[in-house]
Amino acid sequence: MPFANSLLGNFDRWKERLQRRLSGSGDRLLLRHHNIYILPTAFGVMWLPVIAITYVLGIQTQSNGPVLLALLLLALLLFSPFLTYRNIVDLELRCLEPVPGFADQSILVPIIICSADSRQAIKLRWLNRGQPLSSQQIEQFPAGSRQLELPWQPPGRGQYLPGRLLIHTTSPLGLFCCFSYWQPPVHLFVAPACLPGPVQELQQPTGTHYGLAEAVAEGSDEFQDLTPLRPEAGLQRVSWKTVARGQGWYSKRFTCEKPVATWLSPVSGLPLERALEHVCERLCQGLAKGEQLGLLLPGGCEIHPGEGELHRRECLRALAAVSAPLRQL
Amino acid sequence: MSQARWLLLTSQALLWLQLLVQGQLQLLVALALPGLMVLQLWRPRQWLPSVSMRLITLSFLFFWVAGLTLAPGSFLQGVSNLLWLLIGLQQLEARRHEQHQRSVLMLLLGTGLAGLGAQGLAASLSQGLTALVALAGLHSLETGDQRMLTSLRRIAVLLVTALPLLLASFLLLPRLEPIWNLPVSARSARSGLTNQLAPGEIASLVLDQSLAARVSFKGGGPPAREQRYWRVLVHQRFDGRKWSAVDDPPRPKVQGEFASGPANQSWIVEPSRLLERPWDGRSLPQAGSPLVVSELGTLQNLRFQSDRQLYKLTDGTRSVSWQAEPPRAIDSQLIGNSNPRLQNLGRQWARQASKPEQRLALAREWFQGQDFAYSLKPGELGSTNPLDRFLFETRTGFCEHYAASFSALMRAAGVPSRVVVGYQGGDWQQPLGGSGFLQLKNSDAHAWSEVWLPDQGWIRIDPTAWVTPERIRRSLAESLSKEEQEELIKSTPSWLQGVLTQWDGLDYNWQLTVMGFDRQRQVALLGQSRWQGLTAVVAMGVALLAGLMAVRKPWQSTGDAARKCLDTVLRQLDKYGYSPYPGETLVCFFRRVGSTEEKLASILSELAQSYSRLRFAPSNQAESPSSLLLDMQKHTKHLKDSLRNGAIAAGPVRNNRMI
Repeated sequence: MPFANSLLGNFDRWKERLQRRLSGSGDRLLLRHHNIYILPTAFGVMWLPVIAITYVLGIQTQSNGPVLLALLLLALLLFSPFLTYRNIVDLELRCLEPVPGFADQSILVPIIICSADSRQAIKLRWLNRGQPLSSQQIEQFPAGSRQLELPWQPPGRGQYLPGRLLIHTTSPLGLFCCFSYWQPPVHLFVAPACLPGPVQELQQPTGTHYGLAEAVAEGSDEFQDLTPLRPEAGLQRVSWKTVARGQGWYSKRFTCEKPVATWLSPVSGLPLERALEHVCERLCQGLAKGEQLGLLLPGGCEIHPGEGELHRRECLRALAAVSAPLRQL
Repeated sequence: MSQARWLLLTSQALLWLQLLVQGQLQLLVALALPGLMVLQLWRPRQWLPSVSMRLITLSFLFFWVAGLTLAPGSFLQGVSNLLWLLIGLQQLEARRHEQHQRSVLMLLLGTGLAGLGAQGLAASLSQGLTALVALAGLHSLETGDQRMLTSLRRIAVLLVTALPLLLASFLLLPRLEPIWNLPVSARSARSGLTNQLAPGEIASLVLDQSLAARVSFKGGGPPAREQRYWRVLVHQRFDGRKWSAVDDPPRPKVQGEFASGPANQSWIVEPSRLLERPWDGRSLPQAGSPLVVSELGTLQNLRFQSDRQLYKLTDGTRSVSWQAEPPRAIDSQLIGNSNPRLQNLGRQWARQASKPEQRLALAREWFQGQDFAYSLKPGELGSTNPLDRFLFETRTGFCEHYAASFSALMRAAGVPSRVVVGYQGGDWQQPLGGSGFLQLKNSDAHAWSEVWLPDQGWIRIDPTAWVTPERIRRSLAESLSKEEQEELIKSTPSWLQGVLTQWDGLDYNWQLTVMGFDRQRQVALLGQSRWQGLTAVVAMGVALLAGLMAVRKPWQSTGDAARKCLDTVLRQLDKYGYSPYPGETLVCFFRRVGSTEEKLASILSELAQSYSRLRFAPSNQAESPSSLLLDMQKHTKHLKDSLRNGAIAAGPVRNNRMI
């Protein structure tokens, strides 16, 4: 029994080690001999019978032409794994933080590929179930760095680790495939799909820390008041009427109506996912129009009203994370 | 259409062209392939549904089978034609990546099959070009390269890289003998000697200057011109008008007719419809050769060979047995009422002399005493008693007339005789930088006689030599009239002759050294060794390594040597935990490392300066880019040495752990 236990322990350790190697985690991936795998392709396997048939024909008919051709094909076959290996070795990959996406759309994961040499036909593909089967190919890769946006198909709303990425190449002849795996350490936030529908909107939310927002703000729409003139105010806003009356130098103060800060929250009575989709749609539409929107989400998550791209991303991340722990695919 | 498809189409067109020139294509395939290529150009896949494609394929296959039935050739020829046809169909149908890959495989296999039928230098170059373009198509397919010339260049470089490995395997891998026998194909023939002789029917002989055979002699030049008789066929049957070979092929005499010594004649014979091969009648094929000597003294091929055949012979050291084979009844047969004047003359000699040797002497005396003339335009002799008309009226003819009539006269005189057809003479060619060889053209074809003398067996008698000794001692041209000489010279322009001679020399040496490299030559080159297989594997490994080292990345052009140096430095520093911060410039980074590692400060400073000057200094600076690059490479090496010698005391780190 101790021997069996030891054996099982060794097997587990080996399995864990293999898993670790295959997962290829890390903030960047440098392709070297220890993390590159080489296997013949189906085409490479078919290459062998062609060599054999050509060689046998040459032998049978004592013709050196086919024999030479067969040996040439053999030489190319022997060279091929090294050439394919050299096409991928020393390639470095880094992953940038992707923009949050929506559940019904692909997320573009930005990946930076650096190389000191030019490369050909480098292909990348996500290995998770549900991801596109076709690889994205960089046909000509000159020396330097290049950013690639790799589409990732989300299985639904939530926050994910994208899973394993397959980097492979069959260049130059397609006889061998050199490949490696990498698990980019980035979080992908998938917001709900945008669906129009009812959303709970609060303009003056109750609560001690919210307070009342000021209704007006500095602007140029309506005359509000006079203030003593300061030299830097300029002549455009001088109140010439008071100057003419000898009442002194004053500048006019104008105001405009401050945008109303709105808090969005899912309506009760609808399934949470559906309600979040409505919130997401309202949020995206509103922010696109320049509204100041905030979020009040289940689980006590609050995003204060704001605007701009960064605010939008923050809101989408919050929507993605509602009751959705980080998932590894 | 993508570049890959263009390249594959070009490769297919090249294959079709060479097969057409070599006459290897059946009529249907010869016509169908260009049609399929045109269809590929029109991109019919958009309007040809898969059902139509199947119908096209089935129709072509039906016609191929029909064509095979109507004009049957060898099995291999039929299969080859089917494959060449399928290449066209496959390329027409190919849509996906895998289908294009299959097209490439079929093209390569088709090129190999084309190599079975033609092994000359021109054919080999053409096959090599076809394979090169097909491989370039594959490269373009795999890399998505949109430039045709780039793919061709990269594959050419790759092939040059693979050349040492190819040579090592070709020279050293043990050569195998055929695993099984293929049937002899007598149909895959083209022009050459015919198996019948009817001199009276030929009004004017057109000289064919095409190549018939080439032979080189080890350790010396060719035999004297009057000894250069290369026999091919023996005609025994005479019907009063024409001579022909017997219907049944002569039974080969196999036992005891093989040489044991080293070969000293290397023959390359052009395609011929005959199974008989030219030889001097004395030499012997080597054991294991597919050639045997028959009872009639012909050299026969027993095994299927490609159209152009190479074989070696060894000079016989004893008298060959076919000469001692006694005559058969057919060797004395004469049709009773044909050529009566000829028969009367023969009978007269028989009455005058009792011994065959004496009758032979009478015949010689008679031929030399008449005013015979040698001409390639003797005119027709008519269908009745043509030899009588030649011997007693026109007295103008060429070798066939003399050999045919002399042999008939000997039979009439009671001496068994026959006509032998082959080649006589030949031109000695000495190409630049290669060994010389004797070139036999179809215009060197010659006919002579053999008579049976009880004490000596079958001996060669050439009545043409009695009449015009120049024909034998010098050349054909010497024996002709001035008009005929001018015509002969016109047919071979002198300016072209020199070029053709050199090309022939290259072709001959290519075939002899490369195409003729067989097991025997391999043993002669390497000797018998138990370790040949191991030697081959080791040599192939070395060649592979040399190829990889010679061209590090043959399909890539790195170009930027300075960047490579810098990357090396950055990689080295990274091992010790130093890597640039985001946005940190090279100078700042090297200064930061130098402030911590004092031993490296000066080297890093030099490196930064060299790199900056190389990148940003104006071109009119005194220092040339190459000298700056050399500086940089020197500093890089210096840095690596310093690191190896412990310039950073803490040692390298890996995964943030000290090792």
